[in-house]
Order: sequence, then structure tokens, then C-alpha cells
Amino acid sequence: MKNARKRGHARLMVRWPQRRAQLRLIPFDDPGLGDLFEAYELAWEAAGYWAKIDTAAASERTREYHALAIATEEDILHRIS
Amino acid sequence: MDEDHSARICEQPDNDAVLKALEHVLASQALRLSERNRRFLSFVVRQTVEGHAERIKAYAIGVDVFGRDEDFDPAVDPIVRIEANRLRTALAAYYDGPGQADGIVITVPRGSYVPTFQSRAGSGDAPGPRLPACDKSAEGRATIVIHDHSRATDAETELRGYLFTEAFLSALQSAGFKLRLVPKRECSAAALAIDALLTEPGNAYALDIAVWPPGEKQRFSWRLIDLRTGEVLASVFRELAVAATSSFGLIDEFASEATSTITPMLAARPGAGL
Repeated sequence: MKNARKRGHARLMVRWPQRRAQLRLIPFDDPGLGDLFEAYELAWEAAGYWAKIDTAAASERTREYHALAIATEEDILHRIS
Repeated sequence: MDEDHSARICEQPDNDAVLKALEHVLASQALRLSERNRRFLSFVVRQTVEGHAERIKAYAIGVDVFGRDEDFDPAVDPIVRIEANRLRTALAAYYDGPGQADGIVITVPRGSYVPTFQSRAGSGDAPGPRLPACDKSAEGRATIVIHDHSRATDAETELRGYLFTEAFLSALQSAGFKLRLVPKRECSAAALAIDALLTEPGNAYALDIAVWPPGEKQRFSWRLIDLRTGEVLASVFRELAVAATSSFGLIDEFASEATSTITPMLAARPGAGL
């Protein structure tokens, strides 16, 4: 859980360089955002997992998790705005 | 971004108050939550209130709320864990901000999907939240009492009734009605709810809904009744082929169509408040 939060926090800084300074001030285990960092990372990991499977159902899952990652990203950016 | 709302928490509220708190928080536009996560919240709260907390597992939520099939494996399909995190965060933000005056706090603790409910001290005279009826934006609008009359003999039909109710709640709420939900399996509660409603000013209507037992198709019905006169304003049914994973859209669509029928019907009545 802790590692997922850390990876999610780091991934966000990679994807959003213009928000990096702001994100760096927020600890990965922040009480309000830690759960979202974890959700963000889990969504990207799940999208990656399903993308390796060549079935229609897996493609649907990949799209779903990708959309979920983007929605979670928006949640985080909204919270820190 | 912290969880200050827990500092003022003091006591365990009763089930009716919890359901009112659920209705209130779900009605709030300030709660940043998707429609399916509102269903998620509603599902875990209602299961808990009805004494079925032991059913609240990732698998059950995946299947019943997120429409996964029986092969659902939370280990490789972490939808429930992800959405639970988002739900937890959204609730915390709500109770720390726009919902800080709410009398009851609903939380989903980490490590569990079973919610907890606690009253907050110093939140006013009533232990419950402010009801939508107290909101200026809801003043004068027609009130609809939803009562699910299904006599489910199996879990599948019970679930359909639950989904049908939820679909109506969502659609009618979006249309701006004040809503009251009669608890299932409590006939005395139904009478009390209606008595209480008739003492309120404004228009009051009953929406009786039902899902009839299984078969190749299931009959979903709704009937709108003027509570003051007993007049039946509309009575509609539809038979839906409800496969395990594809029925959510059909049920939502039927409830949405019903709301489109009900809204202008009530608006055209004398003294209508919509």
C-alpha cells in the first residue's frame, strides 16, 4: 500500500512536470491524498496488466482502467488546485 | 486535506437517521463522486443498515455494483479497491468542507468496505443531517414516496428490486423532486412515513414500484398515486430480459423514461411545485 502510494505520487510528478514543485511539497502518504495516489497507481497498473491480454474483454478493461486513471488524476489535480 | 471531521464525532446514530444522512449526502452536488460510486456508497450503507455487513466483500461489490461477472477476481481487477479509495477521499473532503454541518458522518475505514456511522456533537438540535426539504432550492417541490412492493423469493430478484429503486432515486432526484424511501419489510414504517409526509406542506405522491419474480423476462412496474386523494395518475409496466451483467442499463433507462413521464404530469397539476 505504501509503495503504491509512493509510485502513484512519483508517476504523477512525471506526467505533470508543470505541477512537480507543488506535488513535491505534498507527502505521498498525505492523509487526504494518499488514498488517491494509491488508486491512481493501481489504475495504471491494472491498465498495464489487461493491455497484455489479447481478448475483447481485456481491451474493455484496459480502456476502463485508463479512464479511471485519468479520472483519478483529475481528482488529485482538483484537490491541489 | 486532513480528516478533522473525526474529532467532533461522538455517538452511533440509529438506522433511520443513517438512511436520511445517506439520502442527504447523495443529493449533494458538493460530493465529488461518480454515479457508480454513489451506487457503491448506497450499496454498502444499505447492506450495513439492513444487517448484512458480512456480505460486503470486494467480490460482492464487484458483481453487484460494478457489473462484473462471476469470474471476477479482485486481485487482477482492482476496481473495488480503487473506487473505495476514491470514495473514501471524496467523503472525507465532503465532511471537512461543504458537509461539515451534517449531523452524521459516513466513513469507509481503510482495510474494510463496511461503512461506519457516527453523530457529531454540536451540529444542531437534530442528530441527523439537514433534510433536502429544508433546502431553499427544494422548497415547494413535489414529494414522492418510493415504496418497493416486490416480494422477492430469490436473491436475483431482490437485487433487481434494489437496482430499480436506485435507478428511480437517481432519476427523480436529478429531476428535482423531494424523495422519501419507505424501508422494505417494515409495513408500520410505510404508514408512518406517509402520515409524516401528509403533515408537510406541498404536493405528495406515492411511487409504488415492483419487480416480479424470475423467468426469462422479469416484469418491472411503477404506479404513481396522489397521496391526498388516492387517485392513480399512471400505471406502467415493462417486461425486461435481464441477463446477469447487462441489466443495469435497461433498468436505468426504464426509470429514466418513467421520470420523463412523471415530471410534466406533476408540473401540469393544480398547485404543482415543480
